[in-house]
Amino acid sequence: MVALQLGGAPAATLGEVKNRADLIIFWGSNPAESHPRHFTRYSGTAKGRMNPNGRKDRHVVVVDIRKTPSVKYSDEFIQIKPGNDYEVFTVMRMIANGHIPDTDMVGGIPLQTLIDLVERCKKARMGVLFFGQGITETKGKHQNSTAIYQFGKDMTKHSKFLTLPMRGHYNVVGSGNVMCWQTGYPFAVNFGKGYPRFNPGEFSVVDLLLRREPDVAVIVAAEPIDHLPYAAAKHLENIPTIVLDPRKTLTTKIAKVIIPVKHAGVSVEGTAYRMDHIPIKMQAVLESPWPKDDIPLSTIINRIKKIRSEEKKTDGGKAA
Amino acid sequence: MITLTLKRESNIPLDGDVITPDALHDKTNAKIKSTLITWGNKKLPLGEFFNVDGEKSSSITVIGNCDKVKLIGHEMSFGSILIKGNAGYNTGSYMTGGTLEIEGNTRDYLGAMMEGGQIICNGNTGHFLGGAYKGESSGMEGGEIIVHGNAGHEVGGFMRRGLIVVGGNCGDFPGIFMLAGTVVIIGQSGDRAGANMVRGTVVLMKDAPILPSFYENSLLRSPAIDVLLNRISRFGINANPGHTFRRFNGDVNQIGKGEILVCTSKQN
Repeated sequence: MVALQLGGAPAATLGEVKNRADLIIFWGSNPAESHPRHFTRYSGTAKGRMNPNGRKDRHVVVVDIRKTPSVKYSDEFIQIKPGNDYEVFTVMRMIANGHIPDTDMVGGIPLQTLIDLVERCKKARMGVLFFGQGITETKGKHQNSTAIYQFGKDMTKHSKFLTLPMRGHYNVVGSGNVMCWQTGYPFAVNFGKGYPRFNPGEFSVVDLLLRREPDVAVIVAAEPIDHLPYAAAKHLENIPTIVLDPRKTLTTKIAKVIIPVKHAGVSVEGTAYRMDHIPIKMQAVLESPWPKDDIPLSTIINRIKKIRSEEKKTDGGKAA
Repeated sequence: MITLTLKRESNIPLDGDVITPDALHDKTNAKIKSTLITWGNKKLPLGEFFNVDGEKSSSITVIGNCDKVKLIGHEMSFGSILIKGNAGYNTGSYMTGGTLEIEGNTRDYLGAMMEGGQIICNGNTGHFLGGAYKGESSGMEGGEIIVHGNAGHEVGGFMRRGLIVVGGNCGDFPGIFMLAGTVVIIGQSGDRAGANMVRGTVVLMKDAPILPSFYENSLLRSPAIDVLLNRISRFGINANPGHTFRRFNGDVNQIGKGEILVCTSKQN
């Protein structure tokens, strides 16, 4: 998201990928394990309008620091030294822009291999680079994503080329989308002053918890105890937590209040966003005795509003 | 002089954007105490968090560990602030004039989007020193930032004008997306200096890996750099002039008009 703000990204929906793409690159991503349906539905064996033979019409490249299970579904595997993605993309951009780097080897990859890869990208009818957490959680972090988006933009001078992140976790794109049209910002939004403020690092959840700033937490359909760094998750044990979740999780174990809610997409209808930002309408298929998420949340909000208005009356309006 | 002494430390941060000469210089002691300051999601009188001495002055001294006080000196345009302790996020952000000195350490975004004035940090600072907020296309547009200690990643990111000096070490990406201006790293720099820089100068006094998108073109011994280093040494930073530098030009993935100067002699 931060990288996107530095200048956008060439992107399209997975339907375009399925129907048009003849070059697929998975960089720092292992879809065989992390997104098992991706390969068959969109990027690998799926047959599309311009790819009637499915897998035979596509060239698949995997770039990773080790041989992942995805490699056996690929035509080409390029092994990169850990933490060198930024340097490799810098050189690939140079090649794409007509410069010759003064080096034979970058990030453990021979220069000729990168020249061949860039040439293949240039000649592709439509190339797609999918990148995963192998890029975003390594040295350079969001700047690695920036380098990828810049490479994608450089390649669009030569061919149709897309760069798409392999977003993990169910509906994480939905959270970003809704936050964007509600507040103008995708994440790390602070409402402390009564209006939204955005600053990753200052207001993002891991940093806030590491600095032990929150004194209460409301956790909706998330599993921070399992997913966040230990020191950040530890702070949640020391503060009052309200968890809205349909099932028992590690987070509900430390929660002071657990509110069971309906399972979105199973027992309540709604909308979830696919990784390419396409909203998918979901229907309820099972009955559940629990309320929808918005009922306890709106009850809490109404109660806070009531307390706030009482505070204003007692302290002469000084409380915001 | 106005002296603000922190009464108690709290995990919940204070937004200290009212701690500037612009906001306090014409206020009486009582009015300073009643100035509202944001604490978490509440606005409370400044007097609840600070003991206030003095009034009607453009010189402010803040005493105490203000690690959780953000935005001190935000948008200040004149006068001086001395912080006797640590300071929080965004200290001196959007500053256009005056002087701001911190005796301790600061967190991220020191002098972010600064347009003028001078910031001196005697301790260490966090990431994005003199940088741009996310979504902004240019960072620091003028002024000087002198850090005696270490700095984090992305020193001078998107910098358009001005001078940043880091007396200690710094993290990766110093001068990233730099448009103009000067960044001097006296200690050890992290990797990827000057990535995507358009113009401007990054001076590294210790050898560091340079990205392949920079081409070495000459050895340089410049009187202009000596003048700069002489000026830096007057701040008490060990930056002796008279060195020869390897000159790299780049980033060729942009227009290639930036320069990185890497000192060839060993520093103490």
